[in-house]
Amino acid sequence: MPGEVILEVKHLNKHFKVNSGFLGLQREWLKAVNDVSFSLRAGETLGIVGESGCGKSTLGNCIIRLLRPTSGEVRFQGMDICAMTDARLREHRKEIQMIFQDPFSSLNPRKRVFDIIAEPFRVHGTARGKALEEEVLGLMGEVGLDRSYAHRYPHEFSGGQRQRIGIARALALRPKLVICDEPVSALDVSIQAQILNLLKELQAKHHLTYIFIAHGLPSVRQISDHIAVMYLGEIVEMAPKNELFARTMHPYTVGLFEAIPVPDPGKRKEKQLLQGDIPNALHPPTGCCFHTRCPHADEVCVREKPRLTDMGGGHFLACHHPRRGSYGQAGEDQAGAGQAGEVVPGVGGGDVHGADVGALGTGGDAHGADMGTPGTGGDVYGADVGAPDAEGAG
Amino acid sequence: MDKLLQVEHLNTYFPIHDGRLHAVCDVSFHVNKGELLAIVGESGCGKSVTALSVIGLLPHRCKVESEGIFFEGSDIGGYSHSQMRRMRGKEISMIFQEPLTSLNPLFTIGFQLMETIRLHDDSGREKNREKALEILRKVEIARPEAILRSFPNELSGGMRQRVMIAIALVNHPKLIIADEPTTALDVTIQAQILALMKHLMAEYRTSIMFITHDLGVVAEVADRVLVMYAGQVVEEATVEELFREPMHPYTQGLMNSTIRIDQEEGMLPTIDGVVPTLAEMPDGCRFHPRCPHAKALCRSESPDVRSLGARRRVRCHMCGGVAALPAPG
Repeated sequence: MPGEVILEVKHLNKHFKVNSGFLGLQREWLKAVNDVSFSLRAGETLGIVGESGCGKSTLGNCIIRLLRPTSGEVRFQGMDICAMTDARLREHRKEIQMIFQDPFSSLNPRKRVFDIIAEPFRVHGTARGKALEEEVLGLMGEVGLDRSYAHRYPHEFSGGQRQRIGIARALALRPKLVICDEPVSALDVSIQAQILNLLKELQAKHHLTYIFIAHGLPSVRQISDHIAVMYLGEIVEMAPKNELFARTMHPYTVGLFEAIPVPDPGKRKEKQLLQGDIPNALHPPTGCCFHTRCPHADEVCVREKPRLTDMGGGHFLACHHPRRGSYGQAGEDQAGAGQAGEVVPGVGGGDVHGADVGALGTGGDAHGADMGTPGTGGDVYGADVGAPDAEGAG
Repeated sequence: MDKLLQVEHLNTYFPIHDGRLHAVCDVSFHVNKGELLAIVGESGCGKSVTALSVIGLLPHRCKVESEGIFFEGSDIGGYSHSQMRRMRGKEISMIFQEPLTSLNPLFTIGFQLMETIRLHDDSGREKNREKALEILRKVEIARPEAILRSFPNELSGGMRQRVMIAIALVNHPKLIIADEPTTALDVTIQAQILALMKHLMAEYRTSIMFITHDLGVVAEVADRVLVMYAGQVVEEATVEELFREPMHPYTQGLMNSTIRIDQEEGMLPTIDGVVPTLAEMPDGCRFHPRCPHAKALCRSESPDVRSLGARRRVRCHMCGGVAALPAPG
């Protein structure tokens, strides 16, 4: 059962300074995470999907403050992690832990498994001697590692077993929030399912909250309650899982679904592939960051940045021309989606400001009706969204 | 159909101080003309070593033994180094997994692309350049003139892989060996590259040996499939047959544990245990410690590859032999 809000991220930015140009004299800012906001309830899993360079790992690192955000708030159980002193942060880190992508580089090759898993206890001084041994062996059993392996070194294990060691270490201090940064991407197919099952079991047993970062939608679907899709440092679409699959709205999300290879040769078909490459994050496109690859982009998209807007049912979207259609039938629904898309620029073109959001409500066909549901109060975004919506309608 | 490549009983091993590590064990297969053969398996199953054995790119200490690697009828298994050099890049070319490490960072794309042309089919600087531009347009690279002058680090991953495909294709080879060509790419770029490869394959009438671990990719592109496990071929079938009715318990397990986008939630089916290492190969059938159907026979005796129908082979005691397997779940 989802509990109270445990994590709140508000307008989080992480910009990196990059030296470029002749002799590196030119300073530029790479906006790795750009105005990201979301909240997460205890016991739930938020999946963050996106392609390489979209800022999903940076976001994870900012939440646990391995990186200090440029601006914004990360509130964990009401406390702002960004503003904490190092000493306070250390106390807090007990409750937030991380599982890393590469089980080969995230384990110290010179330590035995026992010492790797015991390290969190030693750092925080929560157990020693006999009690420590009990704890470590208990954790090993919990993640499916034989106790007799305790005195082996990481290189003696396969990728899947190493990832189990990483999971045991992350769970050692009984954290409330675990950030899983691509925990299965480096593993073989038959092992991925084992690790996902383990993560699910542990979540149910310890009432864990996960942030599950991955580039593969299939694995994200298996574990998440909510899914956020990121592109060039921004969340472009975020919704409860089933909602996202039933009503995929952002053209980028549609493209991601389309691109997934289907393990069924009977279902081969011509795909609507996204064209082009991901733009350089140093020089992101103007307006909507996706417009360079979007099949439905027009002048509005080049000019104006769409805001993340509540489309109803907790479905947030940053797009001027939302698509409609579930992932399975994206192709069939394209026609209807095209119509909805065409209505919008007509309205948006006449009216300059505020039209970007308000116009969605005026796309006066069958789709428009439920799309235009204005952001209702009572959630984090209500305040932001309500104003332009009202403006546009008026 | 004509066979372009036929490999008979390939064994590749690494001599070590007290014996041999068999990376590839008794592997036989063929690639027809104009066909895309997918070799699928998990890491360490010997799929890459099989490819490198065919094209002769393994280090010297690896021993490659076979009863013949026939390419258009001639046994290239016995070719000398200089003979193989004339084949590579001309008759058989290769696309590697990681385009950043397989392109030389110190030379321009133009130099590396034209090097391949110069070595096999030199027709003067201007002509070579034109050929290079033409092939870059074929792989759908915009601004090919600018790309000729750029260095690999200036291109995105997808662009680099397009360049690799261009280099592989430029001399119109009969066979391309693609070793996980899309694994390092993002999913939207992967879809672009797969579509491009299929399209160019038809245009140039090239055969492709496509190595991958992803059954989704196999279903998208392959005509025929070879499933490998622990250095052996465990199943061979056309792509339709394989996905309709996987016979080997390993193939079945692999299919069940592949996470599908349309899969219902709940506990995912898995294959228990781990892939055995080369040094600790189990006796009998190599899959028996992980196999849900293993019997005493499987523990003691290694199964032979058995033909079931014209285009299907399975290495399992339980398939079409002693006892039939229950229908795949």
